Parts: sequence; C-alpha cells; structure tokens
Amino acid sequence: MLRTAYQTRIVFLGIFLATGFILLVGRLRVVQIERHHELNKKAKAKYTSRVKSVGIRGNIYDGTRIPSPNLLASSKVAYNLLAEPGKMGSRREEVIQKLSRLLAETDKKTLERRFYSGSQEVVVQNNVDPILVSRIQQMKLPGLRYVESSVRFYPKDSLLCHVLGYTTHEGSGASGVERVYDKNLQPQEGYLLYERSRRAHKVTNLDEQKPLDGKDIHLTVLEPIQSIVEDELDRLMKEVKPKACYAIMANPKTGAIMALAQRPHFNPNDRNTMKPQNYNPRFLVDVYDPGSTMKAISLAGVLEHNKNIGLGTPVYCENGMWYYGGRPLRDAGHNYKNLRFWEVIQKSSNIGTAKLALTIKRRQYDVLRKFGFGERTGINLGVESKGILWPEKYWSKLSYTRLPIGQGISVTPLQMVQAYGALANKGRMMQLHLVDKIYDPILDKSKYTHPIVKNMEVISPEAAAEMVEALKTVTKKGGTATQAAVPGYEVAGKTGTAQKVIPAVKDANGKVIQKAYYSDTVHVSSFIGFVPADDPEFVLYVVCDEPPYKFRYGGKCAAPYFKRISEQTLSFLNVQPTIKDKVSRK
Amino acid sequence: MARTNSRKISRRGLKKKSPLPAVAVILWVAGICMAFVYLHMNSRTLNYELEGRQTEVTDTQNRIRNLTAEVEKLTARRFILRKVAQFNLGLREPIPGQVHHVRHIESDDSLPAQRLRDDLPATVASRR
Repeated sequence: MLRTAYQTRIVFLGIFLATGFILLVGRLRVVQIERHHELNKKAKAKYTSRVKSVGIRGNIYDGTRIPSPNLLASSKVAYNLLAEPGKMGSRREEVIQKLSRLLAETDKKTLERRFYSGSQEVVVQNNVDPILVSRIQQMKLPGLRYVESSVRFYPKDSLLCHVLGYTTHEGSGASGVERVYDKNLQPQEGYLLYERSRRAHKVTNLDEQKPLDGKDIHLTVLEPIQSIVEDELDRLMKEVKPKACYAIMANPKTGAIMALAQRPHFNPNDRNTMKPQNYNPRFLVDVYDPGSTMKAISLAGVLEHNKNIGLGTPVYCENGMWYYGGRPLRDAGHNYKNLRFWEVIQKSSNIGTAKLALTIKRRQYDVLRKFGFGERTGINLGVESKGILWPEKYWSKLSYTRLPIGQGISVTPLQMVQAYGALANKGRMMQLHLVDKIYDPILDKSKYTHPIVKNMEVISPEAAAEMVEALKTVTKKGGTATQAAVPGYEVAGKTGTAQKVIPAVKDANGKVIQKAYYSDTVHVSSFIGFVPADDPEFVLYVVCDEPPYKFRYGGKCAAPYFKRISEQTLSFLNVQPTIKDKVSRK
Repeated sequence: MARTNSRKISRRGLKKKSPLPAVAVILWVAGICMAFVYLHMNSRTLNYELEGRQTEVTDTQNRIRNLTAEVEKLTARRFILRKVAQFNLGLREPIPGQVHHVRHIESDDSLPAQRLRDDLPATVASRR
C-alpha cells in the first residue's frame, strides 16, 4: 500500500516536471525563435549605441593649377556652445562674466537673459571657433556643452560671390555653384555602432561605415583675374556711379569662363549683406536691348550671306536721318553721308547698319539664331533667361531695320559673350562652361570638362576674319572706343549705348495708360571686345546699367575699364605684345 | 557483504589520490580567468586611450582645415596688394615676357602629355 502511494507520487511528480519542462521548452521556443528578432533588438538597444557622423562638404577651387588651386569655398569646423544654467549652481555669474568677455558676438545682457530664462538648456553661441572652444574648456566652467558643427566659409569673402552662391543653415546649396552642384558637394553620412558600458563608454565596435567627404569642384575662373575684374568694377561703381554693372570674361577657344563679376554684390560670410538686389545673378536673368554691340553680329551675317558686300562697300547714310517703314532712324547726332562698311562699324552708324542688314532681309532671323540669341547658353549656373527674340512671323517691316542695331531684341550678357566668342574664334562657337573638373577624393579621380564645340561654323572663318578687321578700327583713331585701346595689343571690339525700355503703365482695370517706350535718359552702356584681336586670349564684356547721363556712351563709360582690365589680365597671362613699337613699359 | 566491502575499498582508494592535479586545474582555470580579465581591462584602457588620441587627431585635422582656410584668406591677391600698398613695398606686376616658366618633364614617355594637361590652367592651355 505504502509502495503504491510512493509510486503514484513519483508518477505525479514526473508528470508535473515533464509538463513544466515542456512549458519551459515552449517558452524557450517563443523567446529564442519566434520573438528572437524583437527581443534581440530590444537587448541591443540597451547595450549598444549608434553614432551618426557626417563627412565634410566638398571645396570649391579656382582654375589655377600651378602652384596649387586657390580655395574659394570650404567648410570650417565650429562648435555650437550650449549651457545648462541649472548645473552651474553658484558659479552662474562667473560663467556669464567669463563667456561675455570671450565671445565677441554675445554680450553680457544677452547671456543674462538666456541664463535666467528658466530654460533647462540654452544656446550661448553657434559656430564658435575651435581655438576659442579649447580656451573655454581650459577654464573648466560648469554646465557647458559643445556640439560639433560645420560652417561654410568663403576665404576670399565677396570674390566671385554670385557664381559661388551660398548655402542654407542646414548646409545645402541655395544658389550658384553651391546649389547646381549640390549633389556633388554633399558629403555622405556614416555611422558607428558600438557596444557601450554602463557608464556609456565605448567597449567594442560592432559595425562602422565611415562618412565620405563631398567632391571638390574646380572652376575655370582664375582668382587673380577675377580679383582684377572685381577691383575694376569697384572702381567703376565709385567713379561712374551706375545702378549696377557686370563684367564677363571668357576664353573664346575653349568657352571657359575666366571671370564673372557683378556689382552690387554681397559677402556670403556675412548674411546681413545678402539682400535680393545684391545676390540676384543679373548676368543670368537680366535681359536688355543690347544696342550697338549687336551691329557686329548682324553685319557679320551680311558678310557671310551677301557675297557682293565687303569691308570697302560704300553705304549712303542719308545725312543722319532716314525714314523706313514710316518711322525715322537717326545716327545719334551725326550727319554721315557715304561710309564704307568698316566705317559703319567704326562710327557705329545706325542707318548704315540698317541699310546693310536689309540686303539679307530674310536671313536676319537665322543669323541671330545661329549666334545663339533666343536660347539659353547652357552654362549650368541656375535659372537662366533665354532673352527675347520673336520668331520672324511676328516681325514688322520696322523690325528688319531695328533688330540689327540692337533694338527690339533682348539678350543676356552671357549670350553676347558667346556670340562675340564665335566671332573671335573664326566662326566656331564654343559651349560656355564654368566647371573645369570635379575631383572625387574617395576614388582620387577627376572628371574633366572638355571644351565642346556648340556650333562648328556660325559664320565662315573668312567672314569672321573680315569682321575682326572692322572691329579693330573701333578702338583706333576715329572709332567710338579709343579709350578701350590697349597699348601694345590690337583690340577688336564694339561699343553699345542702348536706350532702356520703360515698361507700359496700366491702370487698375488693366487698361494701358502709357505705352512702353525707349527712354532718352536711361541707358545701358557697354563695351565688348577681344584681345589680341587676331589670336585672342579672352573676350571681355563690360556692362553699365543706368549710368549717369554724361556717361551714357559705352565708349566713355565701359571702354576705359575694359582697357584697364585687359591690360592687367594680359600682363598676368604673360601675353607678349603684338605691336612691338607701342609696348608700354612701366 | 562482499559488495559493501568493495565499496569501502574504492572510497579509501579515492581518498588516497593526490589533490595536486585538481588544485593545478583550478589554478590553471583561475589563471586563465585572471589573464582574461587583465587583458580585457587592458584592452579597455587602450581603447579609451585610442579614443582620446582619435579625438585629438580629429581636433588637429579640424584646426588644420580651419587654418588652411585662413591661409587662403591671407594669400588672396587682393589682400596681398592691399598690404603691398600699406607697407609701401614698391612692388609691381611683371611686364609680359619678364617671367619665364621653366619646367622639368620626366623622360618617361607616358608622363609628359598628361602632366602638361593636368598642370596648365584650362583657360590658358590653348595659348601655351
């Protein structure tokens, strides 16, 4: 009896243990197999840390290769200084005193206001220099925290500001090269996953992906030439006092932009200077009637398409007043009679140009299109205007005499540089470009921008050469831009004095009160040319927007600065004088 | 009875065995444990030190980076010209032809063309 009871207990105990074991195995299965991922993740989160790390945004350099490129935009490492006033105890006043003495941007009053605001954590100052941070750290002030950040820095301040653009506070490009090449410049994020101790110390690395720095952009612009151009534009603004001015320099043989400047300007290191009128890239979006600078383009078309006309062909200029299409055309105060083709260019005769252009009446539109007007240059620097060139079906009888003299057509400065580049390059138009190469520091490889021929033959080399000969006379005695002549070098160029269009005025109902008209007092004065004329190093376009009336002529307003910029640039490029007997030795 | 005796004999036999091997095993295991703990502690200390050094390296790199940017600011053409004027140094730009660039090109046939292409500014490559 006793034995049976003993055995029964054993059996029950066995069943109990077996059930317990089975339940345990079942639970183990749930924990180890079914909920493995979920629980593993929870456990890992408790003893591991994942730290994000960001690489450094790529630099922007100029096109100098010897001895080394000049840095134009870079990212500086800085620290955001934060404070927890609650942790400062009785030393709060001391912290305020010492920080206000060290930090230039934050005064004592601001610090007091922030420290006694009742917030748990306050920002003391953003973007503090690491050297200053290490000085603060040495003081061992309580309740301070430092967070690493980076700030975009432009070592040359305002130099090339409209081309470089600027970045947002988050570090992505907002305008210019910074925006257009943002994908290349942006660094790639990395991370470090590590096992941490109870005191949050790193124990072992579990996984790591290093951050990748952004690619470097090398521009075709040369910093010394850009400085020359900008210094001269500053001088122009000071001496002439126009509303705005800009200068573009490009290599006609490669299409590479050598300098591109605009006034007014801004300093990307100082956000206070960034006002819309300062940072809008006018050379991309501004369109205006080019005036006489268009004559060289139209007349190059005449030389190309009318084989009966040459540089010596005479044109009767109607004593300065000619009626065509029921409207008068004047020669701006001159009473020319007979002028030869080259003299029409040299004296910038409106009547002579209009009469010559009428000889290729039906081809004018094609000529302008071939020279790139009415379409974007494709420089790839953000939103670009394509100018205004109406299709020929919308042209009036008057258009055939007005477009050749640069009225009724609107262009951008870049289009003008591109067109004159074709003239300078024997009729071959090159694609304007601004980026020389993109360097990938990870692969240690560079992707070069090779010069691209945009149009193999805008006009024949012979016609281009004839036009260059005519343009050379503009800077010589009797021409409209003697002040653009560079001693020792042949300069081919053309002045432009364009009346600005005053927009139509409408009333509240949209009814036109006053039609749009050409102003007699508000002008755009310009000079565009290339040096040395027969083997040009560069095409340079200097434009003054709304100069004072006495400076309205391009020969007076823009030409002297063209000369100064050219002289210094030729010297920098070490270009030997082409006219030996006229070399000016300083 | 005989069975009980044999048990007693075997226990006696066990008691007679030397404890040294067991002690040795225990000491050996303890030694390994100690060595592991020591090495682990050591590696942790080294890790901390390494971390500190890496931070120093990063800080130095950051400083170099910031100083490079400052150097660029101080070597800008405008800055130099301003200082030349300020200190009345009487320096001027060379006239064209006054400066000659002399370059040594290695004799390896594959190098010169590429080197020249790499070194010349794109904007003036056509002229030179």
